[in-house]
Amino acid sequence: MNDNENKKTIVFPKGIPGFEDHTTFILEKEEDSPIVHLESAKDKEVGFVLFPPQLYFKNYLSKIEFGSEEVEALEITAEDTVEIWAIITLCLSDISKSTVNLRAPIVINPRTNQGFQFILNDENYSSRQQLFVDGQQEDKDRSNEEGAVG
Amino acid sequence: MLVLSRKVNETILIGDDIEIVVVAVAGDNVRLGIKAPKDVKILRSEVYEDIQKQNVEAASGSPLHNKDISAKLQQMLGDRLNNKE
Repeated sequence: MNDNENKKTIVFPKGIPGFEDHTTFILEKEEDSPIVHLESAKDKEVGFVLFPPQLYFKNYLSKIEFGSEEVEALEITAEDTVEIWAIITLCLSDISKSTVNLRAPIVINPRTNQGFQFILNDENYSSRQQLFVDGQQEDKDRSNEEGAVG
Repeated sequence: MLVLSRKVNETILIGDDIEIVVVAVAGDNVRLGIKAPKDVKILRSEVYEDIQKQNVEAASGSPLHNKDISAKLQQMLGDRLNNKE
Protein backbone atom coordinates (compact mmCIF):
# COMPACT_ATOMS: atom_id res chain seq x y z
CA MET A 1 0.00 0.00 0.00
CA ASN A 2 1.22 3.49 -0.74
CA ASP A 3 1.60 6.10 1.92
CA ASN A 4 -1.57 7.89 2.89
CA GLU A 5 -2.91 9.87 5.82
CA ASN A 6 -2.83 6.87 8.15
CA LYS A 7 0.29 5.17 6.85
CA LYS A 8 3.69 6.73 6.37
CA THR A 9 7.17 5.49 5.66
CA ILE A 10 9.67 6.73 8.22
CA VAL A 11 13.42 6.38 7.79
CA PHE A 12 15.54 5.87 10.89
CA PRO A 13 19.01 6.66 9.54
CA LYS A 14 20.65 5.13 12.62
CA GLY A 15 18.20 2.28 13.08
CA ILE A 16 16.78 1.62 16.53
CA PRO A 17 18.91 0.21 19.39
CA GLY A 18 18.61 -3.56 19.22
CA PHE A 19 17.56 -3.27 15.55
CA GLU A 20 20.40 -1.22 14.15
CA ASP A 21 20.06 -2.76 10.68
CA HIS A 22 16.38 -1.82 10.36
CA THR A 23 16.23 1.69 8.96
CA THR A 24 12.89 1.84 7.18
CA PHE A 25 9.68 1.55 9.15
CA ILE A 26 5.99 1.92 8.38
CA LEU A 27 4.13 4.15 10.83
CA GLU A 28 0.45 3.28 10.83
CA LYS A 29 -2.27 4.93 12.88
CA GLU A 30 -4.85 2.72 14.53
CA GLU A 31 -8.39 3.81 13.82
CA ASP A 32 -10.05 5.89 16.58
CA SER A 33 -7.07 5.38 18.87
CA PRO A 34 -4.06 7.31 20.11
CA ILE A 35 -1.97 4.23 19.32
CA VAL A 36 0.26 3.90 16.29
CA HIS A 37 2.25 0.95 15.02
CA LEU A 38 5.83 1.14 13.85
CA GLU A 39 6.70 -1.86 11.72
CA SER A 40 9.99 -2.66 10.05
CA ALA A 41 9.60 -2.56 6.28
CA LYS A 42 11.89 -5.54 5.83
CA ASP A 43 10.63 -7.73 8.67
CA LYS A 44 7.03 -7.71 9.81
CA GLU A 45 8.07 -9.53 12.98
CA VAL A 46 9.83 -6.36 14.12
CA GLY A 47 7.10 -4.02 15.25
CA PHE A 48 6.38 -1.61 18.05
CA VAL A 49 3.25 -0.22 19.64
CA LEU A 50 3.67 3.51 20.25
CA PHE A 51 1.57 6.02 22.07
CA PRO A 52 1.80 9.78 22.65
CA PRO A 53 3.31 10.00 26.17
CA GLN A 54 2.20 13.58 26.74
CA LEU A 55 -1.36 12.30 26.88
CA TYR A 56 -0.66 10.85 30.35
CA PHE A 57 2.56 12.46 31.42
CA LYS A 58 1.59 16.08 30.95
CA ASN A 59 4.96 17.71 31.54
CA TYR A 60 6.95 15.06 29.72
CA LEU A 61 9.64 16.69 27.59
CA SER A 62 7.98 20.08 27.68
CA LYS A 63 11.49 21.41 27.08
CA ILE A 64 13.36 19.03 24.83
CA GLU A 65 16.92 19.84 23.86
CA PHE A 66 18.36 17.91 20.97
CA GLY A 67 22.03 17.18 20.54
CA SER A 68 23.86 17.24 17.23
CA GLU A 69 23.20 13.52 16.73
CA GLU A 70 19.42 14.00 16.83
CA VAL A 71 19.49 17.17 14.75
CA GLU A 72 21.53 15.39 12.10
CA ALA A 73 19.45 12.19 12.07
CA LEU A 74 16.15 14.08 11.86
CA GLU A 75 17.36 17.05 9.79
CA ILE A 76 15.67 19.34 12.30
CA THR A 77 15.46 23.02 11.47
CA ALA A 78 14.16 25.82 13.67
CA GLU A 79 10.78 25.66 11.93
CA ASP A 80 10.18 21.96 12.56
CA THR A 81 7.77 20.66 15.17
CA VAL A 82 8.66 17.07 15.97
CA GLU A 83 6.36 14.27 17.06
CA ILE A 84 7.17 12.49 20.32
CA TRP A 85 6.15 8.86 20.74
CA ALA A 86 6.91 6.28 23.43
CA ILE A 87 7.26 2.54 22.93
CA ILE A 88 4.86 0.38 24.91
CA THR A 89 6.14 -2.98 26.13
CA LEU A 90 2.99 -5.04 26.23
CA CYS A 91 2.57 -7.62 28.95
CA LEU A 92 0.36 -10.06 27.07
CA SER A 93 -0.60 -12.15 30.09
CA ASP A 94 -1.85 -9.04 31.90
CA ILE A 95 -2.11 -5.87 29.85
CA SER A 96 -2.45 -3.76 32.99
CA LYS A 97 1.20 -4.59 33.71
CA SER A 98 2.36 -3.12 30.41
CA THR A 99 5.10 -0.53 30.60
CA VAL A 100 6.17 2.42 28.51
CA ASN A 101 9.70 3.54 27.70
CA LEU A 102 10.01 7.18 28.73
CA ARG A 103 13.81 7.06 28.81
CA ALA A 104 14.10 6.65 25.06
CA PRO A 105 11.25 8.28 23.15
CA ILE A 106 10.84 7.88 19.41
CA VAL A 107 11.14 11.31 17.82
CA ILE A 108 9.83 11.85 14.30
CA ASN A 109 10.28 14.87 12.08
CA PRO A 110 7.06 14.88 10.03
CA ARG A 111 8.56 17.21 7.45
CA THR A 112 11.38 14.86 6.49
CA ASN A 113 9.69 11.62 7.63
CA GLN A 114 12.81 10.73 9.53
CA GLY A 115 12.92 9.16 12.96
CA PHE A 116 15.32 8.64 15.80
CA GLN A 117 15.19 6.96 19.20
CA PHE A 118 16.42 9.62 21.57
CA ILE A 119 18.02 8.23 24.76
CA LEU A 120 17.58 10.93 27.38
CA ASN A 121 20.35 11.81 29.81
CA ASP A 122 17.74 12.34 32.53
CA GLU A 123 17.90 9.39 34.91
CA ASN A 124 14.48 10.27 36.32
CA TYR A 125 12.80 8.78 33.26
CA SER A 126 12.34 5.03 33.30
CA SER A 127 12.53 2.69 30.35
CA ARG A 128 9.89 0.62 32.17
CA GLN A 129 7.38 3.16 33.43
CA GLN A 130 4.15 1.46 34.49
CA LEU A 131 1.42 2.57 32.13
CA PHE A 132 -1.65 1.74 34.15
CA VAL A 133 -0.36 1.86 37.72
CA ASP A 134 0.88 5.13 39.14
CA GLY A 135 0.68 7.34 42.18
CA GLN A 136 -3.02 7.79 41.62
CA GLN A 137 -3.83 4.41 43.01
CA GLU A 138 -7.09 5.70 44.52
CA ASP A 139 -8.45 6.58 41.12
CA LYS A 140 -7.65 3.14 39.86
CA ASP A 141 -9.29 1.44 42.83
CA ARG A 142 -12.44 3.46 42.34
CA SER A 143 -12.62 2.60 38.65
CA ASN A 144 -12.26 -1.07 39.52
CA GLU A 145 -15.30 -0.86 41.74
CA GLU A 146 -17.27 0.65 38.92
CA GLY A 147 -16.12 -2.12 36.65
CA ALA A 148 -14.54 0.32 34.22
CA VAL A 149 -11.25 -1.54 34.12
CA GLY A 150 -10.70 -5.21 33.42
CA MET B 1 43.52 2.91 25.76
CA LEU B 2 45.05 5.83 27.61
CA VAL B 3 45.13 5.16 31.35
CA LEU B 4 45.63 8.04 33.80
CA SER B 5 45.77 8.18 37.59
CA ARG B 6 43.82 10.99 39.25
CA LYS B 7 43.09 12.02 42.82
CA VAL B 8 39.82 13.43 44.10
CA ASN B 9 39.13 16.90 42.67
CA GLU B 10 41.70 16.43 39.92
CA THR B 11 40.46 16.78 36.37
CA ILE B 12 40.98 15.48 32.87
CA LEU B 13 40.38 17.59 29.78
CA ILE B 14 39.16 16.02 26.54
CA GLY B 15 39.41 18.31 23.57
CA ASP B 16 38.64 21.97 24.18
CA ASP B 17 35.33 21.76 25.93
CA ILE B 18 34.98 18.52 27.89
CA GLU B 19 36.19 18.34 31.47
CA ILE B 20 35.94 15.34 33.78
CA VAL B 21 36.53 15.70 37.49
CA VAL B 22 36.84 12.94 40.08
CA VAL B 23 34.32 14.08 42.67
CA ALA B 24 34.61 11.29 45.21
CA VAL B 25 36.00 7.81 45.66
CA ALA B 26 34.39 5.45 48.13
CA GLY B 27 35.47 1.82 48.01
CA ASP B 28 35.01 0.61 44.45
CA ASN B 29 32.64 3.48 43.67
CA VAL B 30 34.04 6.44 41.74
CA ARG B 31 31.89 9.54 41.38
CA LEU B 32 32.66 11.62 38.30
CA GLY B 33 31.54 15.07 37.29
CA ILE B 34 31.41 15.83 33.58
CA LYS B 35 31.31 19.28 32.03
CA ALA B 36 30.50 19.09 28.35
CA PRO B 37 28.50 20.99 25.71
CA LYS B 38 24.80 20.10 25.74
CA ASP B 39 24.96 18.37 22.37
CA VAL B 40 27.47 15.79 23.60
CA LYS B 41 25.72 12.56 24.45
CA ILE B 42 26.82 11.18 27.81
CA LEU B 43 25.39 7.83 28.85
CA ARG B 44 26.35 5.14 31.25
CA SER B 45 26.98 2.31 28.77
CA GLU B 46 24.46 0.06 30.50
CA VAL B 47 21.74 2.58 29.62
CA TYR B 48 22.21 1.93 25.91
CA GLU B 49 22.20 -1.82 26.57
CA ASP B 50 19.03 -1.43 28.63
CA ILE B 51 17.30 0.39 25.76
CA GLN B 52 18.40 -2.31 23.31
CA LYS B 53 17.02 -4.99 25.59
CA GLN B 54 13.81 -3.08 26.18
CA ASN B 55 13.31 -2.62 22.42
CA VAL B 56 13.83 -6.32 21.74
CA GLU B 57 11.32 -7.17 24.47
CA ALA B 58 8.81 -4.59 23.17
CA ALA B 59 9.12 -5.84 19.60
CA SER B 60 8.72 -9.49 20.54
CA GLY B 61 5.62 -8.85 22.62
CA SER B 62 3.79 -6.71 20.10
CA PRO B 63 1.42 -8.57 17.83
CA LEU B 64 0.53 -5.49 15.79
CA HIS B 65 -2.40 -6.93 13.97
CA ASN B 66 -4.16 -8.66 16.82
CA LYS B 67 -7.51 -6.87 16.99
CA ASP B 68 -8.40 -8.22 20.45
CA ILE B 69 -5.22 -6.94 22.05
CA SER B 70 -5.50 -3.61 20.24
CA ALA B 71 -9.07 -3.16 21.42
CA LYS B 72 -8.20 -4.10 25.00
CA LEU B 73 -5.23 -1.75 25.11
CA GLN B 74 -7.24 1.06 23.55
CA GLN B 75 -10.01 0.61 26.10
CA MET B 76 -7.58 0.61 29.02
CA LEU B 77 -5.81 3.71 27.75
CA GLY B 78 -9.16 5.44 27.38
CA ASP B 79 -10.26 4.41 30.88
CA ARG B 80 -7.05 5.66 32.41
CA LEU B 81 -7.38 8.97 30.61
CA ASN B 82 -10.98 9.42 31.73
CA ASN B 83 -10.03 8.62 35.31
CA LYS B 84 -7.44 11.37 35.27
CA GLU B 85 -9.86 14.06 34.26
